[in-house]
Amino acid sequence: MASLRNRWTLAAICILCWAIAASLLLGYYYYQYTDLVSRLERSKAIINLGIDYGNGTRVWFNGTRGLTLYDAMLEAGWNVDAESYGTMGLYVKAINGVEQSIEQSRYWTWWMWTNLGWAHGGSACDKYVLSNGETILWYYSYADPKTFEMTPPP
Amino acid sequence: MNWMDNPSNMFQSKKASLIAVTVAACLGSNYVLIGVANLKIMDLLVFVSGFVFGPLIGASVGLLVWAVYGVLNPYGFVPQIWIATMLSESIYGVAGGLLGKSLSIVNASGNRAGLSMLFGAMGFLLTFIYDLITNIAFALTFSVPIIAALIAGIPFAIIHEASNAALFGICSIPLITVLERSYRGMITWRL
Repeated sequence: MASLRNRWTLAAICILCWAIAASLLLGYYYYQYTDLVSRLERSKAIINLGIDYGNGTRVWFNGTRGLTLYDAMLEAGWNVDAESYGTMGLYVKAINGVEQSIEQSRYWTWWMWTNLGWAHGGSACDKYVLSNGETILWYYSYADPKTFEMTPPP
Repeated sequence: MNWMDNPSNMFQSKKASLIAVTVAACLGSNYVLIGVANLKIMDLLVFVSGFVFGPLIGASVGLLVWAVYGVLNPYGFVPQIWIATMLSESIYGVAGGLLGKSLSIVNASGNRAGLSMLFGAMGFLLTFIYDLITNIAFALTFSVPIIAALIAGIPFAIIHEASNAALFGICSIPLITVLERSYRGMITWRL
């Protein structure tokens, strides 16, 4: 039979099988990926996100969507300079060009609005999973150099 | 002169018995492997029966196996899928028969590795066609979008195709060799 005499024909048939299998797997995983992305998109929370530069300028981005606070910051179009601390998450050093100042003891911190007022965010922004309707403010806080206690937003 | 003196009657009887025995072997193996999803030696047996005895007998075996297995099936009976599986299973027999007409195991035995690869690839491609047809039949029967049905069936199809590629590649040559030796002189026809 010609296909046996010609090794290239046999190789072509085997490659065809491999191509079909690879295409099937590609199609399957592409579908899984797009399905997961669309599910995640639907599960994104809608929050009120604000930024206070500590100089009287406060800007709100209401209706911002995100899975984590970091997602929402990027979704709002902020320019975030952050450093990763592995499993602890991201440490934000600058937002929209305003950098932290060790000399002036001013740092970026995030705060959540509660019934009792502003509560300091307890985790790194990329580790905090948002819930619908939350109001979160990034504040360029003054930190007491001795106690390192942050000043809450006004 | 009785009916056994007529050689054509003899051949008809032999063909009928060959089909019956192969169908029985397929059914037995199917029920034994009922708990193992997408791993069946039925496809191999249908293909080999077509290879050794011709495409007509191969197709008949494929049709008859599913005629029984599709009705007496613990997973249920759906007429549209039953018809689709019967027709697609017969493809193994037809393809085996067409391959058998153009290929002699005895002549090609010097190139067993190449032959195994060819059979493995045939197993893969035929199973791909079988899965494609049956998945489309499933989608049309249950009003599922065809693309969704095909994508959802990919993991099962891959297992089915890979297992058949391995089975066809490894088992076809020994099985065909044994059958051709057993029926040497009898198989003057390949219908």
